[in-house]
Amino acid sequence: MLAWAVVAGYVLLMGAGLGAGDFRLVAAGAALPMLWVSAAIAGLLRGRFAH
Amino acid sequence: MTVTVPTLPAPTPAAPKDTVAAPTPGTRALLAGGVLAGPLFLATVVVQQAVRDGVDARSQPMSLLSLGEAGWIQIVNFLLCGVLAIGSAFGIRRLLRGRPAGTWGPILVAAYGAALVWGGVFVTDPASGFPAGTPQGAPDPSTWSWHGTLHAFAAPAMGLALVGVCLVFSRRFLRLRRPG
Repeated sequence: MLAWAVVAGYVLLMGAGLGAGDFRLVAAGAALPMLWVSAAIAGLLRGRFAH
Repeated sequence: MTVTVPTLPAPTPAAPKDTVAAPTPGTRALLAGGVLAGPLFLATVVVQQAVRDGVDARSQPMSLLSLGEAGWIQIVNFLLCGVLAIGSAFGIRRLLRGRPAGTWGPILVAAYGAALVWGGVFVTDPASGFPAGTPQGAPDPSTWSWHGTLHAFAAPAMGLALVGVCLVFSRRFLRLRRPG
Protein backbone atom coordinates (compact mmCIF):
# COMPACT_ATOMS: atom_id res chain seq x y z
CA MET A 1 0.00 0.00 0.00
CA LEU A 2 1.33 3.38 -1.03
CA ALA A 3 -0.08 5.02 2.10
CA TRP A 4 2.10 2.83 4.31
CA ALA A 5 5.16 3.64 2.20
CA VAL A 6 4.33 7.33 2.58
CA VAL A 7 4.10 6.98 6.36
CA ALA A 8 7.39 5.06 6.45
CA GLY A 9 9.03 7.72 4.26
CA TYR A 10 7.68 10.46 6.52
CA VAL A 11 9.09 8.81 9.64
CA LEU A 12 12.47 8.09 8.02
CA LEU A 13 12.92 11.55 6.51
CA MET A 14 11.77 13.31 9.68
CA GLY A 15 14.11 11.20 11.79
CA ALA A 16 17.04 11.68 9.43
CA GLY A 17 16.39 15.41 9.05
CA LEU A 18 16.00 16.14 12.74
CA GLY A 19 18.96 13.89 13.56
CA ALA A 20 21.24 15.60 11.06
CA GLY A 21 19.81 19.09 11.60
CA ASP A 22 18.90 19.27 7.91
CA PHE A 23 15.50 20.89 7.54
CA ARG A 24 15.38 20.11 3.81
CA LEU A 25 14.87 16.47 4.80
CA VAL A 26 12.28 17.48 7.40
CA ALA A 27 10.39 19.47 4.75
CA ALA A 28 10.61 16.57 2.30
CA GLY A 29 9.24 14.27 5.00
CA ALA A 30 6.30 16.58 5.65
CA ALA A 31 5.69 16.94 1.91
CA LEU A 32 5.09 13.21 1.42
CA PRO A 33 1.83 12.85 3.38
CA MET A 34 0.67 16.34 2.37
CA LEU A 35 0.89 15.39 -1.29
CA TRP A 36 -0.57 11.93 -0.69
CA VAL A 37 -3.58 13.42 1.11
CA SER A 38 -4.06 15.86 -1.77
CA ALA A 39 -3.96 12.94 -4.20
CA ALA A 40 -6.43 10.94 -2.10
CA ILE A 41 -8.86 13.88 -2.02
CA ALA A 42 -8.39 14.25 -5.78
CA GLY A 43 -9.33 10.60 -6.07
CA LEU A 44 -12.53 11.25 -4.14
CA LEU A 45 -13.25 14.21 -6.36
CA ARG A 46 -12.93 12.08 -9.47
CA GLY A 47 -14.90 9.25 -7.88
CA ARG A 48 -11.95 6.89 -8.13
CA PHE A 49 -12.02 5.83 -4.48
CA ALA A 50 -15.61 6.72 -3.80
CA HIS A 51 -17.41 3.69 -5.22
CA MET B 1 -16.11 -47.13 -8.26
CA THR B 2 -15.09 -43.74 -7.04
CA VAL B 3 -15.69 -40.77 -9.25
CA THR B 4 -13.55 -37.75 -8.63
CA VAL B 5 -15.36 -34.58 -9.43
CA PRO B 6 -12.97 -31.80 -10.34
CA THR B 7 -13.52 -28.84 -8.18
CA LEU B 8 -13.09 -25.28 -9.28
CA PRO B 9 -11.35 -22.81 -7.03
CA ALA B 10 -13.76 -20.80 -4.99
CA PRO B 11 -14.56 -17.52 -6.70
CA THR B 12 -12.95 -14.51 -5.15
CA PRO B 13 -15.63 -12.54 -3.36
CA ALA B 14 -16.33 -9.22 -4.99
CA ALA B 15 -15.04 -6.10 -3.31
CA PRO B 16 -17.67 -4.56 -1.05
CA LYS B 17 -19.85 -2.00 -2.75
CA ASP B 18 -19.49 1.52 -1.44
CA THR B 19 -21.43 3.58 -3.89
CA VAL B 20 -21.66 7.24 -3.04
CA ALA B 21 -23.68 9.91 -4.73
CA ALA B 22 -21.89 12.18 -7.19
CA PRO B 23 -20.59 15.21 -5.29
CA THR B 24 -22.62 18.38 -5.61
CA PRO B 25 -20.85 21.47 -7.03
CA GLY B 26 -20.40 22.80 -3.49
CA THR B 27 -18.84 19.56 -2.29
CA ARG B 28 -16.62 19.48 -5.37
CA ALA B 29 -15.38 23.00 -4.58
CA LEU B 30 -14.58 22.01 -0.99
CA LEU B 31 -12.72 18.90 -2.16
CA ALA B 32 -10.84 20.90 -4.80
CA GLY B 33 -9.60 23.18 -2.02
CA GLY B 34 -8.22 20.13 -0.23
CA VAL B 35 -6.45 18.98 -3.39
CA LEU B 36 -4.88 22.42 -3.74
CA ALA B 37 -3.85 22.91 -0.09
CA GLY B 38 -0.77 20.65 0.07
CA PRO B 39 0.87 21.54 -3.27
CA LEU B 40 0.11 25.27 -2.82
CA PHE B 41 1.63 25.29 0.68
CA LEU B 42 4.77 23.45 -0.42
CA ALA B 43 5.24 25.46 -3.62
CA THR B 44 4.92 28.75 -1.70
CA VAL B 45 7.55 27.56 0.78
CA VAL B 46 9.97 26.41 -1.95
CA VAL B 47 9.64 29.68 -3.90
CA GLN B 48 10.23 31.77 -0.76
CA GLN B 49 13.27 29.69 0.16
CA ALA B 50 14.64 30.30 -3.32
CA VAL B 51 14.07 34.05 -3.53
CA ARG B 52 14.13 35.53 -0.02
CA ASP B 53 17.39 36.95 1.28
CA GLY B 54 19.03 35.23 4.23
CA VAL B 55 17.01 32.03 3.96
CA ASP B 56 18.89 28.74 4.26
CA ALA B 57 16.52 25.79 3.76
CA ARG B 58 19.11 23.41 5.20
CA SER B 59 19.50 24.98 8.63
CA GLN B 60 16.22 26.86 9.04
CA PRO B 61 12.76 25.36 9.55
CA MET B 62 10.14 26.62 7.12
CA SER B 63 8.20 28.32 9.95
CA LEU B 64 10.90 31.01 10.11
CA LEU B 65 9.58 32.30 6.78
CA SER B 66 6.75 33.89 8.83
CA LEU B 67 9.29 36.41 10.15
CA GLY B 68 10.82 39.48 8.58
CA GLU B 69 9.45 41.98 6.10
CA ALA B 70 7.87 39.37 3.81
CA GLY B 71 6.77 37.13 6.68
CA TRP B 72 3.14 37.90 5.92
CA ILE B 73 3.42 35.68 2.83
CA GLN B 74 4.09 32.57 4.91
CA ILE B 75 1.46 33.56 7.49
CA VAL B 76 -1.12 33.87 4.70
CA ASN B 77 0.17 30.56 3.29
CA PHE B 78 -0.43 28.84 6.65
CA LEU B 79 -3.89 30.37 7.06
CA LEU B 80 -5.12 29.93 3.49
CA CYS B 81 -3.97 26.33 3.10
CA GLY B 82 -5.31 25.50 6.56
CA VAL B 83 -8.73 26.90 5.71
CA LEU B 84 -8.72 25.00 2.39
CA ALA B 85 -7.91 21.75 4.22
CA ILE B 86 -10.63 22.36 6.83
CA GLY B 87 -13.12 23.08 4.05
CA SER B 88 -12.21 19.83 2.31
CA ALA B 89 -12.89 17.98 5.57
CA PHE B 90 -16.51 19.14 5.29
CA GLY B 91 -16.55 17.94 1.66
CA ILE B 92 -15.17 14.54 2.65
CA ARG B 93 -17.74 14.31 5.44
CA ARG B 94 -20.56 15.05 3.00
CA LEU B 95 -19.29 12.45 0.53
CA LEU B 96 -18.31 9.62 2.86
CA ARG B 97 -20.80 9.98 5.72
CA GLY B 98 -21.65 6.51 7.07
CA ARG B 99 -18.99 4.84 4.91
CA PRO B 100 -15.42 3.68 5.55
CA ALA B 101 -13.23 6.63 6.56
CA GLY B 102 -16.37 8.77 6.77
CA THR B 103 -15.84 9.69 10.41
CA TRP B 104 -12.13 9.77 11.15
CA GLY B 105 -11.10 10.85 7.64
CA PRO B 106 -12.75 14.29 7.88
CA ILE B 107 -11.79 14.72 11.54
CA LEU B 108 -8.11 14.13 10.79
CA VAL B 109 -8.13 16.27 7.63
CA ALA B 110 -9.71 19.05 9.71
CA ALA B 111 -6.98 18.57 12.33
CA TYR B 112 -4.34 18.88 9.58
CA GLY B 113 -5.93 22.15 8.47
CA ALA B 114 -6.30 23.40 12.03
CA ALA B 115 -2.60 22.72 12.66
CA LEU B 116 -1.72 24.85 9.62
CA VAL B 117 -3.98 27.68 10.84
CA TRP B 118 -2.45 27.34 14.33
CA GLY B 119 1.02 27.67 12.79
CA GLY B 120 -0.05 30.88 11.06
CA VAL B 121 -1.80 32.45 14.04
CA PHE B 122 0.99 31.73 16.53
CA VAL B 123 4.17 32.90 14.85
CA THR B 124 7.47 31.24 15.68
CA ASP B 125 10.43 33.03 17.31
CA PRO B 126 13.55 34.15 15.44
CA ALA B 127 16.23 31.43 15.30
CA SER B 128 19.06 29.98 13.24
CA GLY B 129 20.25 33.35 11.97
CA PHE B 130 16.85 34.40 10.58
CA PRO B 131 15.86 37.19 10.27
CA ALA B 132 19.25 38.84 9.80
CA GLY B 133 20.95 39.64 13.10
CA THR B 134 19.48 36.67 14.96
CA PRO B 135 22.11 34.40 16.57
CA GLN B 136 22.74 31.05 14.92
CA GLY B 137 21.25 27.91 16.41
CA ALA B 138 18.01 27.19 18.21
CA PRO B 139 17.16 29.56 21.09
CA ASP B 140 16.91 28.23 24.63
CA PRO B 141 13.28 27.10 25.20
CA SER B 142 13.21 29.17 28.38
CA THR B 143 13.48 32.29 26.21
CA TRP B 144 10.63 31.39 23.84
CA SER B 145 7.73 33.82 23.57
CA TRP B 146 4.21 32.56 24.34
CA HIS B 147 3.33 32.51 20.64
CA GLY B 148 6.59 30.76 19.76
CA THR B 149 5.80 28.11 22.38
CA LEU B 150 2.30 27.59 20.97
CA HIS B 151 3.70 27.49 17.43
CA ALA B 152 5.91 24.55 18.41
CA PHE B 153 2.81 22.35 18.67
CA ALA B 154 1.80 22.96 15.04
CA ALA B 155 4.30 20.73 13.22
CA PRO B 156 3.89 17.61 15.40
CA ALA B 157 0.10 18.03 15.36
CA MET B 158 0.09 18.34 11.58
CA GLY B 159 2.38 15.31 11.21
CA LEU B 160 0.21 13.16 13.47
CA ALA B 161 -2.96 14.24 11.66
CA LEU B 162 -1.46 13.54 8.22
CA VAL B 163 -0.20 10.11 9.27
CA GLY B 164 -3.66 9.42 10.68
CA VAL B 165 -5.30 10.42 7.38
CA CYS B 166 -2.95 8.07 5.49
CA LEU B 167 -3.81 5.16 7.79
CA VAL B 168 -7.56 5.79 7.81
CA PHE B 169 -7.74 6.10 4.02
CA SER B 170 -5.45 3.11 3.46
CA ARG B 171 -7.94 1.07 5.53
CA ARG B 172 -10.71 2.33 3.28
CA PHE B 173 -8.78 1.40 0.12
CA LEU B 174 -7.99 -2.01 1.59
CA ARG B 175 -11.68 -2.63 2.27
CA LEU B 176 -12.62 -1.56 -1.23
CA ARG B 177 -9.64 -3.48 -2.70
CA ARG B 178 -8.33 -0.41 -4.39
CA PRO B 179 -4.73 0.72 -4.70
CA GLY B 180 -3.57 3.73 -2.74
